[in-house]
Amino acid sequence: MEPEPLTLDSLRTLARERGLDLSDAELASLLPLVEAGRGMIAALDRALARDTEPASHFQAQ
Amino acid sequence: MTDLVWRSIGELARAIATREVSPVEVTQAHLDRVAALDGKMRAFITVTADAALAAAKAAEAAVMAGERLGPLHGVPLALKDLYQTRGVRTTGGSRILGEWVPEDDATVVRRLAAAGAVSLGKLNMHEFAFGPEGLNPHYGTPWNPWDPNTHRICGGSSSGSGAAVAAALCAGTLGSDTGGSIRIPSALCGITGIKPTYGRVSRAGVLPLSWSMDHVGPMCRSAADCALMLGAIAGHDPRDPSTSVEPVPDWSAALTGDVRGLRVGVLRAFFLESTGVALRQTVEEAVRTLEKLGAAAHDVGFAGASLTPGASFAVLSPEAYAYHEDWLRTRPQDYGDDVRERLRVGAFVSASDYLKGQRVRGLLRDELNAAFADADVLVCATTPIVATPVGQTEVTVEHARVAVRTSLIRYTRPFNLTGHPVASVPCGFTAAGLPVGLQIVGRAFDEATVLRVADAYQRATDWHKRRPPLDVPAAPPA
Repeated sequence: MEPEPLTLDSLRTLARERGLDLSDAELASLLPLVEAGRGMIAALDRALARDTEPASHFQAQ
Repeated sequence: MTDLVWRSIGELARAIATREVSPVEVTQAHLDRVAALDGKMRAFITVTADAALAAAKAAEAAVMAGERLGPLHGVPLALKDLYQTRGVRTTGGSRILGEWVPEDDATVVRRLAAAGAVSLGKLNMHEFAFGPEGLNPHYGTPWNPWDPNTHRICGGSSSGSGAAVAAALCAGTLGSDTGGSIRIPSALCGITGIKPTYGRVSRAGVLPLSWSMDHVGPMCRSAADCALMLGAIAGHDPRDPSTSVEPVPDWSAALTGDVRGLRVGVLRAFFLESTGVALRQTVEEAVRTLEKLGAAAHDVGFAGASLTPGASFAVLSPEAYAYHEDWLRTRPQDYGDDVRERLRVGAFVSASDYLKGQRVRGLLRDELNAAFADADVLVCATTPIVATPVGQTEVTVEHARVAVRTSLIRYTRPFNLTGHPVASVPCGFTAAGLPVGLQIVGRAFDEATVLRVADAYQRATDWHKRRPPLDVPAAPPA
């Protein structure tokens, strides 16, 4: 499923939630990188079945 | 003296053990070369000359006393500056840790010392290992030795390691590899490196970029030297629970030179796309060389490789962000611009997305394991491009503009996700004299076959023996 496009305002909100106080210029520079990453991750969905488990697991010892 | 610095690790260890040369003489020769060349090369962040000479003198005394010697006894090596070294600053190539002096050694640093190695110091790198070009705004970007006239990238993140070995400033180094950081500089600097299987070598005391994808491994001028160094550092470590209890074989003994009957799977789809004709031909010629040695080559597919950009982004970005979160909030101005920005991106990857990456990882590993049903090793180019000038962000390949950064990691990072062992060996040069690398991929924990193929290839070729034009006086201007 393709993610909703991010806007500068929505990215600012997300950044603040994560404790990052970024300027407009920094947000504008970050936006295409975050969007590109979200697009790449969305492309993973087609490879995954519901029961595909992650590769990393906790080991007790 | 110049000849001494070009000797292999194996040759130096033998010459020292037989008292042909003194470890002090060998160490001094390398330190002299560092003093002569590193003002331009910028391979080192910290040179520990006094400590190196003291260690060399102790090594000499051990030889003269007839003590039992380790496999690297008296051999001068250097460390990428993300390995913690007791009493010696460990910067991670950053300003953030610019004055940090650890109180303990990384496990691999201890193991190298136990094998008798002499450390010359700490090597330059892309800041916090987060970049495949090997740039560094704080300590200067290392200069690729293969072009004395144009400042070209060494590849990263282990850029200082690539430059130092190629220029014979040290006999070998430890790099680290999260998306290609051993193999990319090995390819761009014309040297040999191996990223072992995930879990083969301890990460304890190594500054992390991405805990689940970081690999520790050697960078040298030959596969035989890599086998020696890897043998000294591999094996289970209680300080790193991700290390395996698999026994460590004698990799040097595995270098028989014989690859007859070996099945070589050639990764062409995806792994030869976005590559120029000249580089593609160089890789195909390397495959023909392996066939002449008696190996049988056939095409192998790895369709899942196209998923690696997304999976790698999903895993690496949030792991890196988690490590840097506090500093990004409190000291953002102390990062270089490129690294700060890429680290911040990791703040916007959700837990669900991170797990998508980890779930795809399992699929990629399974697909690659299945490919080894019909092949003993897989081969492909290490990088689609050769060393570009520092500051160049795009390059033209087959009439298409491609980004240097994403291009450099295209063929290497699939194997960080799967964890399989991969060596990069020099397999030719472009018309401009820039090195090209070949990746040799093995089954998990089968570094022996990877190194055997790499060594057999190097017995049949001389690409790894070529020296960059550093010792040749520059031609006067026309």
